[in-house]
Amino acid sequence: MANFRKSTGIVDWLDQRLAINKFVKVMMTEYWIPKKINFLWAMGVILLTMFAVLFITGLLLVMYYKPDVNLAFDSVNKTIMQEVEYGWLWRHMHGVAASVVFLVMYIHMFTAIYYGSYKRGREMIWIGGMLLFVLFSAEAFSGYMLPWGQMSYWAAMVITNLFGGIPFIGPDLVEWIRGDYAVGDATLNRFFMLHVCLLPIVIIGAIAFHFYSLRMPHVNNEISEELDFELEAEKYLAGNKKEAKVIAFWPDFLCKDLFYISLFMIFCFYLVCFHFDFAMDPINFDPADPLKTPPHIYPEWYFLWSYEILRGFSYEVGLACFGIAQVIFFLLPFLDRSDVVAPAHKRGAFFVWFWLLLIDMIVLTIYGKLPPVGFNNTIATIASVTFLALLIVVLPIITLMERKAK
Amino acid sequence: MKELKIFLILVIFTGIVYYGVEPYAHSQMQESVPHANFDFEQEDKSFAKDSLAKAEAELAEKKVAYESNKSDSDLEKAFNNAKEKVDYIKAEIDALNLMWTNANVVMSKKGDSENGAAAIDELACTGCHKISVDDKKDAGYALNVTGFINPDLSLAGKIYNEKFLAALVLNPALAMKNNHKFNDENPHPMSALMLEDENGKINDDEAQKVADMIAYLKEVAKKADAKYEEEAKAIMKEKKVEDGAEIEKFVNFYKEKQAFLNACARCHDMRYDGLNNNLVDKDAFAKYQEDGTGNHMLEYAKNKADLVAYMGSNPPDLSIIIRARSTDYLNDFINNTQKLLPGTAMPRVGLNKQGQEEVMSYLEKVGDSKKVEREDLGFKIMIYFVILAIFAWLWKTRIWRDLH
Repeated sequence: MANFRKSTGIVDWLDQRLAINKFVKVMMTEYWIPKKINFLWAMGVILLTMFAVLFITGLLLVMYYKPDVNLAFDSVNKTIMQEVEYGWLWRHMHGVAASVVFLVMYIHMFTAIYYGSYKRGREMIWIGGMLLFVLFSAEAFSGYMLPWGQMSYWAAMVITNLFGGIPFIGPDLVEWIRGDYAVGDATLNRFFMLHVCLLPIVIIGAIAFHFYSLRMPHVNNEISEELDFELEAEKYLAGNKKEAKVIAFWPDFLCKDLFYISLFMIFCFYLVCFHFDFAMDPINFDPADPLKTPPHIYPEWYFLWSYEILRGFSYEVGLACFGIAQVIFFLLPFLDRSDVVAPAHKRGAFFVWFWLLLIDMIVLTIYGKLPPVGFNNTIATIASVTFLALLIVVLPIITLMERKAK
Repeated sequence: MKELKIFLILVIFTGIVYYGVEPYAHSQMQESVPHANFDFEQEDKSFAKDSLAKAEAELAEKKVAYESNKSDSDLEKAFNNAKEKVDYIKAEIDALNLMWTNANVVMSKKGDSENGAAAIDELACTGCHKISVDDKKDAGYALNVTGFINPDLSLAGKIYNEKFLAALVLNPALAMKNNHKFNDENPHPMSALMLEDENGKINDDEAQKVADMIAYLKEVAKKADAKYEEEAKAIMKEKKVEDGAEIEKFVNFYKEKQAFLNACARCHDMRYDGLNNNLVDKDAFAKYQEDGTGNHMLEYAKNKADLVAYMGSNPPDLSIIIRARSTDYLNDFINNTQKLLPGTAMPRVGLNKQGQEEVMSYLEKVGDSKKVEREDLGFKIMIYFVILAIFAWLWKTRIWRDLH
């Protein structure tokens, strides 16, 4: 047993037993973040806040939600929305946060691509982040099923049907996922399990991994300068905070984040209470009807770009490209063949490539929502091919050229 | 400055995505239609004109296709169908013109409500329709032949458009836009009054009768309105509610509900407000049909299976329709059901502007009962975060004084 002396107060008592002082230093007051960053660096904490909102409102919703095809719709739209005190608030917050979290994720992702935060030792941060994107996608998809509206049912039908295209095991796989021949009560119950139990646990683990993977390489900065964190930390601790190129996570980094979060929440709650149709599509307020196919079936906006790639080709080709599109971003650190770490505006061809990619994904997103008629189909194919070409062909080539030029 | 530039880029790109995915995409998915017109004659005529133009354009297309390949029997069929459709719409336009001309004749007369009461008896309206507020309660018991309760006319004079009522009396199926469902072998359940001459025109005496009937219905509706107000106040008294504002709110809700019950509840459930056919005790309803005893809510019950057979599909529950469709859509749809759902079996019941507003208000109160609370609280929450942002900024400037 270690030496335990009489404590000087409650903090000392806890410190002797749990080393909380060391813990706070490591996690907060001596966790070094570069000083030269902008508000885009706040997206991570905003994402964590959004996840907390989703988690807590989720807990409140699950107290009243009933995962049964006969009870689900009314448990949400009558019990929660109209009978439970502020139930409507939890439901609106949950739905809007689920949509907005993807906007912030895309901003966070594209910030990382722009500043090269996926390279030179930061590959695992990037991969962990992409893993979180995939997990959140699964969480959003399973969550959208739960209110059991028209779009819940039909989007589930369409997407679970996709797996039927996989050779050999396809049709059996579809039945296994659904728990029945068609989407029904069995599907609803297992997607409820995924959404409320398994995926949140895995997400929390992935978040912990994502935070851990940041520690060795450290957070990137606006000019992608490679800092000597130990040197800068010494300057800071010696009292030379103005000259030091780093700041402490707490309170320096987080006090600014609190400001950004507050501004963001003004926007968020405006959406929650006044402008929520984009996140709570009216079509889903029609109870699910297996006998009535909606004239337009579409996923939530954040899935539209990959949905459009699916539609851009014939069935099998589209399915294959859709599969590739889900995983291609994982390979980004390895598709970028150059070791130049700099913000995109200092990287010539990469800068052009970045904006082309962004514009292409926006085109894919918008056309993913439009009915697949006439010229829209041509655009679908062009934009989908462009996407794959940009990532698989153009990026390796321009980055190889960049490395040679160095 | 640089951060502002970055923020603007974010806003612009997010705005483009939002615009494309929401307003623009939804405009592509739903053809835009002319808005609701409570001048039903104008609405019917302009809608028929638009439909005819569309049908003629399609006929021209099908004709070209057929002429280029006369041996193809499918193209021939399509061409013949298109021709039939144009002829049908042309015949409909003739019938509409006749009906509205006659309705205008009726409207030119000054109605007398006492004569109207007599006319109602003469034309045997109460053989099928109750007018319960005027003690005419006997109709409708054994008349569930179509699975359909013929509406109580107590409130008709208030919530339905007058000229529309005249048109309805003269040609029910055409006025309610149900004419595609009925023909000579399968006539509309409300039998024609045969008030027109052999040219289809109504003479002055018959027109006067109809005008009197409408005047009578308006008188009765005033009585009904007052009765419902009293009923509502009595309920509040029983619940010992004293607050004037709350009583007024309930009275309004009660009256709006009456408008809904009269105009919509004969086919549509409202399970979030306790109107659920599935919960009606079938035995109690049978007894009510036999001798009129029992809960007045049974009046709006219907044999669901008969109704589905009559309508072709189950009229949807309207509990949350206010969230499932935009208010524009609902207003346009109720005003002319064929405009947004061509071929639907739902009749256009002829609600006037006030009646429709009452129905829409009821739909909102049942389907989106927390709207007022939501908007009120939303404002307060946003103010909270403005204040928090100010405090956060002040804290940040204090900490960062040593860091910059």
